[in-house]
Amino acid sequence: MKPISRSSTTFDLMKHHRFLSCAFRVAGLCIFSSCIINLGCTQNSKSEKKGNVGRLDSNPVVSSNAEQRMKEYAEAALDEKKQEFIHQSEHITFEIERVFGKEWKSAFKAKNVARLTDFLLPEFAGKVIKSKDWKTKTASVVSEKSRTFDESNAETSKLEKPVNLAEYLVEISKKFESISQLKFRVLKIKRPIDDQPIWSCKVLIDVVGEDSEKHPQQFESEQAVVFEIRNKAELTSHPVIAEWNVEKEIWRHSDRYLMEEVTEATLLHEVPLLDNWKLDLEFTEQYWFQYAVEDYDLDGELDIAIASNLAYPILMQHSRGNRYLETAAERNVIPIEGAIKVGSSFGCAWLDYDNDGYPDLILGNKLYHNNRGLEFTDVTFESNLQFQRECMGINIADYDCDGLLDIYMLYQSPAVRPQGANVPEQWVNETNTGYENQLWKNIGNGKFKNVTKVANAGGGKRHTHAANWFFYDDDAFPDLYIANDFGKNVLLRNKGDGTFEDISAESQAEGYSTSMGVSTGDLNNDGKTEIYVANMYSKMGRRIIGQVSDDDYPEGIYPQIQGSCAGNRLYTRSDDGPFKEIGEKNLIHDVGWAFGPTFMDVDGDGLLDIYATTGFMSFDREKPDG
Amino acid sequence: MTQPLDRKAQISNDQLAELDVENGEFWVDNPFKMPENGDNLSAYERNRLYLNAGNLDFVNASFASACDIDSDSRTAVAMDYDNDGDEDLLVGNVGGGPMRLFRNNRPVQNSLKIRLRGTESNKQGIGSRLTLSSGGKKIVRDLFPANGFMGSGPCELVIGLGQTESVDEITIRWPTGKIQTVEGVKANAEIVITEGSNEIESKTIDAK
Repeated sequence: MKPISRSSTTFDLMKHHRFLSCAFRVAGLCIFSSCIINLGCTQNSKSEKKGNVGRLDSNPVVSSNAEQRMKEYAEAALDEKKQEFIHQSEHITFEIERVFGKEWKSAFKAKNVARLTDFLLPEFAGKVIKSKDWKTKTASVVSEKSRTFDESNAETSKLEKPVNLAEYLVEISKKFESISQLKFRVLKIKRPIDDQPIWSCKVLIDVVGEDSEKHPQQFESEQAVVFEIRNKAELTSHPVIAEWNVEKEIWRHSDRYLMEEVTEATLLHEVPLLDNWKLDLEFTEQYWFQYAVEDYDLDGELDIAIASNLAYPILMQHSRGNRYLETAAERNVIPIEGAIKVGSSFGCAWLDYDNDGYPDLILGNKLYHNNRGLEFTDVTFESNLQFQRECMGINIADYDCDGLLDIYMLYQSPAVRPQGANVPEQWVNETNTGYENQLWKNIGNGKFKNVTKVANAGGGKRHTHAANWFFYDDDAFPDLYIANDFGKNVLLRNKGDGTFEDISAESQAEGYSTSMGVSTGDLNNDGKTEIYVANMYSKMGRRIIGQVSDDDYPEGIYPQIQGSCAGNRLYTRSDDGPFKEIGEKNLIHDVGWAFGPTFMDVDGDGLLDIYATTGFMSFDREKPDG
Repeated sequence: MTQPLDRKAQISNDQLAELDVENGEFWVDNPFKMPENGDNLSAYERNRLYLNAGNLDFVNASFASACDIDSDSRTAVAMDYDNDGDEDLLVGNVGGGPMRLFRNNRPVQNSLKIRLRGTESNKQGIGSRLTLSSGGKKIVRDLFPANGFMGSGPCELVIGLGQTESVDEITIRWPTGKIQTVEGVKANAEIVITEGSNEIESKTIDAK
């Protein structure tokens, strides 16, 4: 193992932090906040922004965009009253979730009828679902049943007394032997009468735990809840709920857990990488590394190569007893022309570029030849490959089907800006903001050639997070889906003549989004590939969107705001026509601040399942989330 | 107000005074400052597992996955690290453990692991499409190693066959566009299909 002492690590970090601190900008978030609130920004900030434009004149690449953006700012002001109301409703939401919710959850967990009754006003009215019409679905070992409120049962659904609601809730709580997660979340909030302290909310309750047989179980429900909140103190000491109408219930059950963590058993907890949760704030990063898995020495076991923004390459070799040991130096994964520059490239991929049967390796900004699985040689210089700063990813395919693997490199805006340029943050649907992606053709004899221009493969100068090769049409030439932050995604159809055409718009799979990952695969085995794109889903954003409409903004802005917090998207098609988007309809959208998903057949039934990652920056479990 | 607002957005003094500081409510005028200030931003969100229930319908199985971690994850790659014929999961994170590996603990199912060996096509067979048919059912898989963000998987296809004991036919469309068909493949094997050759290398999988 490579020793990783705190002191040397800290030194590396300090040395390079200057680059990294701004290297990978906050993704996605700024779209939403910019749209909603930027557009509603106050008069006095406009002059400041105009000032910015002036300072940008030295940088012609960005100035036209910036000017356009400033124009959008100026034209798009959200009504001040609306702004004020948004702030107020968000404040109330905070109090309901954080102050009231805490008390409520504690009473629910304690299965305490009296305490749950105490939250309800004397004139309380409520309804629960009496319908026997459960809808069920099953995926291997996991089953789900759900039902919704039905007007035909409205009379019998009425709760006679406040205590009946508490009893209903305690019945649910009692079905859990243990509760590991409990959520009380406000999904929508309205104030039906101006200036009255009455708030009408859609509330999500989510309970995860185990039943009496220690089997995993989940309950989720949505209810319309009316709060009367006169002051903060009332939230914990007084009845505040006037109405509670259950609208939807879901139960999920499984007879086992599908996975089991083996990080320590495989020694992967000793991988020489850094962990934000163990670092001082100033050293934390949004991204640390990228990895690629392959059996490089053909011993039948999968190994892991890791490119990080630490100054050394990592090779985790699968060793006896399913354990992983670090062997980069032993296998001579050592760059010959100077050290790997920190922050220079996250590129990591296995590719047998010379078809000798041994997968070669791109790691950081280097290409290494695999010498029969015994050791590696840095061949970057001979290959003619050049990596720009901050390569965000590598996608391998043989785009021209000539038998030689080619390389697609992903790029974002350059983090290190030209000196003196005061470049504003990215704005919605901005193009021409930085490097374009690059396609490098394998021309044989271990050499590559940048064919981006001639192949029309750059995908626009956008902020690319991820891309996938996949089959859009029925030929063997792989097409490309490119997931971008701050703007539309790009679909490049491979014409089969060495060039690509941008069919993003006609495919109807471009979305407007804040994409940070994409998976492709045939989810229904019909021969047509589905595309699942990771975007931002924001409960806050969707609450706020409930308060504004198309009328509040200049044309075209509102749909972009909607898109910026709509969540993950699934594009599908059953013929050669455009894609249909079914992520929200099929309830696989509300993942969160989503990053790279993957398709895999977890339960072995021949259908690809979806694993979706999420979560941006966590610092303190006790503090509220932003 | 905990949600991030624009770097230039203002709130009134009355609204500032209303903030429930005691319970952690705060105001930032620039969301970019939140991670710099050490303020949670989409923090401790849990990864999801959606099981495919057919017809593009899904069951949210996160609660029963034991891999719905809240580690500020960035990357997920499927890999059969213990060679037992099911896909395990390697998750890359920036907090709570950089690399976390999850062993597949599903009930034992039949499966097939396939590697391709190109002769005219690239050696790893990247860019091939495989169609498996058995008993009127079809499974379609394409071989592209990268499928997500900041990570890529091995050039092998791990295919769950449920209770099916053997595959009637595997059709491979190689990157050259040529079609090759292999018939009668027994489940629970690791096979290598060589472009243009009828000989299939096969090794039994020890499913656990």
